[in-house]
Amino acid sequence: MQKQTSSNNSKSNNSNLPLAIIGLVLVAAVVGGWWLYSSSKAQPTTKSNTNSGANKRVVDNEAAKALYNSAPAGAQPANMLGAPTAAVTVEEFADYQCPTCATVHTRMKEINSLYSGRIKFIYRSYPLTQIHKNAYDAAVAAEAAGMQGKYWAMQDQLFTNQQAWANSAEARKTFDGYADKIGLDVAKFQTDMAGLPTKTRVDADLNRGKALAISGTPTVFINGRKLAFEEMDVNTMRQIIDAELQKSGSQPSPQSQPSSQIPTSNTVNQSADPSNVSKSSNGSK
Amino acid sequence: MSVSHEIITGQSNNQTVGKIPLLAAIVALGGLADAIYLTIHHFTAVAVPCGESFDCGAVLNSQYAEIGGVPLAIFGAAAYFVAFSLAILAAFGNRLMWTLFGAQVCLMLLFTVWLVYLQAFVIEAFCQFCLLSAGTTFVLFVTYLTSRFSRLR
Repeated sequence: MQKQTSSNNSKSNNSNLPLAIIGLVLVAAVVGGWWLYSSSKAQPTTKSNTNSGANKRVVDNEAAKALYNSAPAGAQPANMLGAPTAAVTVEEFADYQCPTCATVHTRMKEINSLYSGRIKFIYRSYPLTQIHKNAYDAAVAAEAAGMQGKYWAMQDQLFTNQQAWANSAEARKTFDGYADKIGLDVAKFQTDMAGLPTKTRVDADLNRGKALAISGTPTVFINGRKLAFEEMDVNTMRQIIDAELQKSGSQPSPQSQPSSQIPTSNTVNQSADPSNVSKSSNGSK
Repeated sequence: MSVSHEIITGQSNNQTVGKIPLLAAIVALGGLADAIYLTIHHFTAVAVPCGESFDCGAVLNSQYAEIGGVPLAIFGAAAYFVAFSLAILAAFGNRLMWTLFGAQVCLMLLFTVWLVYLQAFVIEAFCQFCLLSAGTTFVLFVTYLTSRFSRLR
């Protein structure tokens, strides 16, 4: 009788063993994944820096540069920060609904802060509409805010609060809230969102991106050189921008690193204000 | 006791761990680790170390890296975890689980072929971690196939 009980216990233990192993692996995967996530998030640039040496990869050939220069211009005037005549142009194609773009957005803010007035930063909308249902509307919302001189303020709202609207069925209402928050005339914002000029600008950026054979977001060009994703950390971009500035005889980045918020419409060069689009022959079909 | 049962359990009439499913479980663990790593990359946007011949950024940030806003790597992690679980259950003698494992691995292989095609002909860039995952799926498939052929002998 005892033998039988012992045998049953043994069988029961044996049948529980695979489940125990599976449970253990599940727990290890979740805990290990979370630990890696936390440690990666804490040091976002350190790991990237290790890649900037041997693994550094820049798509840098004459054909690519020729394509860059010959591609359609995109929305005119472009959404631009900095000096229009600067020797270094940083052009970013991004999707407001793309999580990686939100991360790179904070890095770009730092770059713009570091090189304030010494580089030209152009933001291009490249909504991946096949996978991001609200990305196109978000790009249009930013353009509509741009009509009132608040493109960058809206951009900040969109990227910072991405999770709040990314999969929302009522993203437009959320955008209205942001418009109100940043001090826009909400009625005009809604009208502009529904209007053709804002969409035309987004489409123009999309067309430029397509001509440049962009396969993902974010994609960043510095003076026509397409960066590999590994290079989109602040330190590596600084190295590249500094090298370009030196080529042009300008001074590299200052040592001081003031942390500032993204420039508001007040600091945007007037010529870059997309609110001029309705008057621009290039900006409308 | 059938021959096939011997293949699955390693030895007939006892609960000894089957070697082939156990090997498959270990390989699936490797795939799970790879997929978790890529999932973390997706959410943290930390660059992955990429070899000279690869362009991980182009692949991992392409429009194909997500399905309905969910990173593909999460689906990969889930698939490898299920494959691991099925293989472990099979290793302890559950033949049905091994059959399910085979069916799942066949589906994974089909999807893998599609992803490799995208890298080669659409994105025109490769990511070593994606290729590692493709290799892992292929090894799982071969492992399953080996068990089937062994069964026929």
